[in-house]
Amino acid sequence: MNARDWTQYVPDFWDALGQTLYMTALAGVLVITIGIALGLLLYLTAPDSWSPRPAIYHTVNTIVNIGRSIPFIIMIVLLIPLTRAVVGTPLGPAAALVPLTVGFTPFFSRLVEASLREVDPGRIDAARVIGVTTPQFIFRILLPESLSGIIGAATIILVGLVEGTAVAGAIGAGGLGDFALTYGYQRWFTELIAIAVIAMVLIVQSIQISGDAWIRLRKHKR
Amino acid sequence: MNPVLQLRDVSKTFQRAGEEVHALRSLSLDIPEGAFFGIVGTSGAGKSTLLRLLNLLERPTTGSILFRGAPITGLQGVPRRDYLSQVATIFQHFNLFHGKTVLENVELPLAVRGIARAERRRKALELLDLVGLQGKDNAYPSQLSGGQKQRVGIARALISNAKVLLCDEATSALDTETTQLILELLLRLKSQLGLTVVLITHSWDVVRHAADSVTLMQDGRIVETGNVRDLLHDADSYLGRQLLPAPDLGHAPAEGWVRYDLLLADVRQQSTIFSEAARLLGVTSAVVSGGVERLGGLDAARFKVDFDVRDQAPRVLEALSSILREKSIVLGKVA
Repeated sequence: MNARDWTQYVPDFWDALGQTLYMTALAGVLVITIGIALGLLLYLTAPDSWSPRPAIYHTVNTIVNIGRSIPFIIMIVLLIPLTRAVVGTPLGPAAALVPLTVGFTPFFSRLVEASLREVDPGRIDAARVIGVTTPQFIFRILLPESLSGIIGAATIILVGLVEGTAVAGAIGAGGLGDFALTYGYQRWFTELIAIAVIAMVLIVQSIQISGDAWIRLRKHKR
Repeated sequence: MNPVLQLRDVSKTFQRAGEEVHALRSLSLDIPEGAFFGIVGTSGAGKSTLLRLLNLLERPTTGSILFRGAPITGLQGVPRRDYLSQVATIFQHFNLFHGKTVLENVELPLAVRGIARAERRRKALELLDLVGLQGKDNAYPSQLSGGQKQRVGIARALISNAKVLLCDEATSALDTETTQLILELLLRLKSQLGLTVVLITHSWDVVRHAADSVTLMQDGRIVETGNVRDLLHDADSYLGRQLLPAPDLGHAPAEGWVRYDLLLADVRQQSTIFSEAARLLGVTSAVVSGGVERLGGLDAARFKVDFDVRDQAPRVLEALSSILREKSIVLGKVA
């Protein structure tokens, strides 16, 4: 086999693709779950909102702001001790879940908060005069009424995570970004860079198209 | 009749940009059971705040509010929910939940009270029928017209057997024709279900069309309040005159004629006055301006009328006044 035959690295490509999908999907679930919870907390405890709690609001608000102000690549480095404590190693796709989750949740919680604020205050008055409890308000009114906005925010954050996995790949997480750098850039296989880029474009496209389609299906519900 | 809702010395002060805004100033008001109670005033008069105190969206700064004699301020948990079942609200912008179908919107108050699905579906369909929205149960609010949305709002408000319906500018976002239809619906539901309707509005037309009791608010206070019939019979009532305006057309009465401002609370019984004045006293009359309105279920009228009293003894003028009084026609101040 010719040493310059790029096809010999195709199995490595499939591994890298698997790692990217693994990181995006799992970090996505974590970011979306924790981000919705934080977004709800921010929304509900804000001044003049459903249940104002200034102390909680200002604490969460500050933490989210700090989280958003740290560049992702620095966040990865800063989180190495935490990653090591949680996963046992700072390297590999599983370890990347820690910085991906910590790095992307603050931004997503802001997007969720903004979507929740889009719900017309009149509908919130209507919920109050129906006499709903706080859990009923969250699950029967607030989240269903803002679901289109939250789907849009989730689309943005999943696309961001695909990019995030590539950055994490640069410092040992594996995945398509890592693959493109090691095989494509360092070993001069332009074909492999092209394949990695095409794969990432396809992933991003399918996320965006699914998100848009879901929102379109809900057009009567807005 | 017994008051269903009572406000006692209620004040509400907001802090806005560091300044105190007095939305309500030591206001007391009784809302009688079974009334169609119109509260009218310009924006900023405090009527919206008043309604938001009644549906617990705001708490009074001072004073107390009673529902059938029991205080409602500070209600929490189950008692609060029970109160809100009995005193329901519809809104200017309907405030339907857009992610839910019409049926899901209407049944929501029962769903959050843990009523079984079959039971609440049956009740919701029954109410949709009552407000004239058969077959719309699976539509989404975005697919409905303004009038249909308000009908959904009414069905949602009434599903938990409300006894009082608070209407917050409920027709202000609708065109004139739809406003009439919604008011007719409210009047029908009021008599069919024995409701008390409290309607706040800036529109005199809405009050004229539907209310049997009227309160005028200004600057956080009540200027005047009363039932329409009493207001019309009171010569000094500002509200009575507002309900039945008679514009002056400008020209003064001719030499030797006197002008009367007449209020006929029941035009069918009272409008023979003109022919009687002619027959009994030989007095000719000429209507200057006026109109007939259906108010509080009666056809009431207000006329500015000039009577020819040339060559008549003062005695005739007295006799004319006594005929007017006899027929309970209210004499306003002569222009």
